[in-house]
Amino acid sequence: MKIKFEDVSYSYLYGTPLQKDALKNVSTEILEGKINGIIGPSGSGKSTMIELINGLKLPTKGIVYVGKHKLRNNIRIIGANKLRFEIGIVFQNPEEQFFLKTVKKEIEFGMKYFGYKTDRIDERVKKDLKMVGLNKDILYRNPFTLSGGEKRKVAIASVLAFNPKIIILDEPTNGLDSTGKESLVRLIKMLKEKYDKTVIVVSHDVDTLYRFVDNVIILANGKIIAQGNKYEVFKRTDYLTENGVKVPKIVYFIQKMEKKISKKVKDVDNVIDLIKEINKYV
Amino acid sequence: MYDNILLSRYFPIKSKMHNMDPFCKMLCTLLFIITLLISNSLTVIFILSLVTLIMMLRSNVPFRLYFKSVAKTVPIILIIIIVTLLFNVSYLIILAILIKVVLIVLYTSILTFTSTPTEITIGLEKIFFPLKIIGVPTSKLALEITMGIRYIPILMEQIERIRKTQASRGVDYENARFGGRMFANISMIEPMFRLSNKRSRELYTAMELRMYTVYNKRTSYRTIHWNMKDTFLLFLHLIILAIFIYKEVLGYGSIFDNFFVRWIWF
Repeated sequence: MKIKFEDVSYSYLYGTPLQKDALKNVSTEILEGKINGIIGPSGSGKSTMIELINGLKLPTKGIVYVGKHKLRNNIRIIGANKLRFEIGIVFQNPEEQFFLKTVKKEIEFGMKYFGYKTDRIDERVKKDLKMVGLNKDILYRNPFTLSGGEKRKVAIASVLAFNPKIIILDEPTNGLDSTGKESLVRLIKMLKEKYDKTVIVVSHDVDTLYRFVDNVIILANGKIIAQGNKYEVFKRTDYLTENGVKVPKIVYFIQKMEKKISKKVKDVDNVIDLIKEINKYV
Repeated sequence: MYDNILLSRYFPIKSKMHNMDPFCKMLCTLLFIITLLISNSLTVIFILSLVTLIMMLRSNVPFRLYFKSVAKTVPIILIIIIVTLLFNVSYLIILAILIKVVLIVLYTSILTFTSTPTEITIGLEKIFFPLKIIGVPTSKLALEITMGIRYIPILMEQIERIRKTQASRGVDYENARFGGRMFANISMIEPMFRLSNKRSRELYTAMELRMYTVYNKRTSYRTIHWNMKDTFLLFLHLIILAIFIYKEVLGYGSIFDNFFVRWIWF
C-alpha cells in the first residue's frame, strides 16, 4: 500500500477567527515495508498527519493517496471500512481509548467489525497476547485497572488483532520504563522483519526512535523541514536544533568521536554497535 | 465530527462592546427584548434597529458572522410566514414580526460575540441578585453553570477520542449511508457515562485537595467594573422604553408614527 501526501494542508476551525493551521503544504511519501518515523516538537502536526492517513480527518487542501483511496476535502470516503481494515492505529493515550469492560472484548472489537469468524477470533486473541508479551489471565480484567505498560500492550494487541498491512503508533514510548521500551523496540522490529508490515511511528522520544527507524520525516510548525534516510537527516545537527528538533545523543557522540580521531566512523544506531566501533580505535 | 464546532461564539478581539460590563449587556438585552416584543409602534422598532446597528458597528465583529446567525433562523422565519399567511394577517404586521425576530437574533448575537461564557455567568449571578434575599444560593448556581460550561469541551474531546478508536477499528457510522451520525452518537452513550463519571470524580478530588468549598466567599481574578459607557447604554434603553410607554400606553404617539409610516411605506 502506497501512502502519498500531495500538497496537503489541514486547519482546525477552518474559516473562523480561531483558525489554527496544523499542516501547511506537506508533500511526502511513506516507504513501503519499512519503519517510518515522524518526528517533531509537540504541536508540529504529527498526530494530525497520521489521522489524515486513516481518513479520520480530511485535508482542507490537497490530496492524500492511500493505496487505491483518494482522500480529499468534503468528499465522503467510499469504502472507509476497507481503508481502515488495512491501517491499524494505536493512539497516544491508551487509557482514553478503551471503552469496553474487559480486555478480551477490547481486543475482539476490531475483528468483529471486520468480519472475522468467531472460532478464528479466539485463536487470534491468544496469538496476539503472545506477540505483545502478555499473560492469558489478563483477558477478563477491566482495561482501566491495568498498569501503564500493560495498557499500552493491550492497545497494540487490539490493533494487531485484525492484521492490518500498515501499523501506526502515536507516541508509543510515552509512560514506558526502559524494559517496556526495550520490548516495544523488539516488537516493532519483529513486525517489520517477520510479518513484513509498514510501520509508522510518531514520537518526540528521538533516542529510542533512532534505534529502529529506517526513514525519517521531520516536522516543525506544520512544515516538513527534512526527510530521508535517518543517518543523513540527523547529520545536520545545527539545522535541526535551530528548528527545535532534538537530535539523538548517539549522533552527538559519534560527531565528537570523529573530530577527535579525525576519521569517519561507520553509521551506528545502537550502543552495542557503537562499543564495537570504539573498540576498533582504542 | 466535533473538530470544527465553536463552543462559544465569542469573537476574540478588542472593542468598545467587549469592554463593557456583561451585567449591563444582559440587562440591556432584557430591556431590548421586552420593549421590542410588546411594542407595535414602527417608530420604536425603527429606533431599536438603529441602536442595534450602531452596537454592531461598535463591536468590530465582521458583519458576515451576523448574517450567518440570521441565516440560521431562516426556517423559523419561514414557519412564521406560513402561519401568519394562514390566518390572513396583513402584510405590514407580518413584516413587523419578521423584523422583530431578526432584531432579537442580531442583538443577542452582539451579547454572545462580545462576552465569554464566564462573563455571561458573572452577569447571570448579578441578575439573580434579587433572589438572594429570598435565600436562593446564587453564587453556587453561577459556579455550577461555570463548571458545566468548562466541562463541555472535556466531554467533547472524550467523545472524539472514542469515535476515532471505534472508527479506526471498523465501526464508522459517519461514512455510512443512512442515519449514520445518529447511530454514532447512540453508540457513544454507554462508554461516555462511565468515562465522565471517572473524570468528574477526579475533578472533585482535585478541587477538594486545594481546599475548595462552595460556602466561602470567593474573589475573582478578573474583576469587571461598571463604566460611564454602561450607564449610558442602560439609560438609552430606558429612554427607548419610556418613549414606548409615552406613545403606546399613554397614547400620545400619533405625530411621530404618521410621519415614519408615510416616509417608509408610502
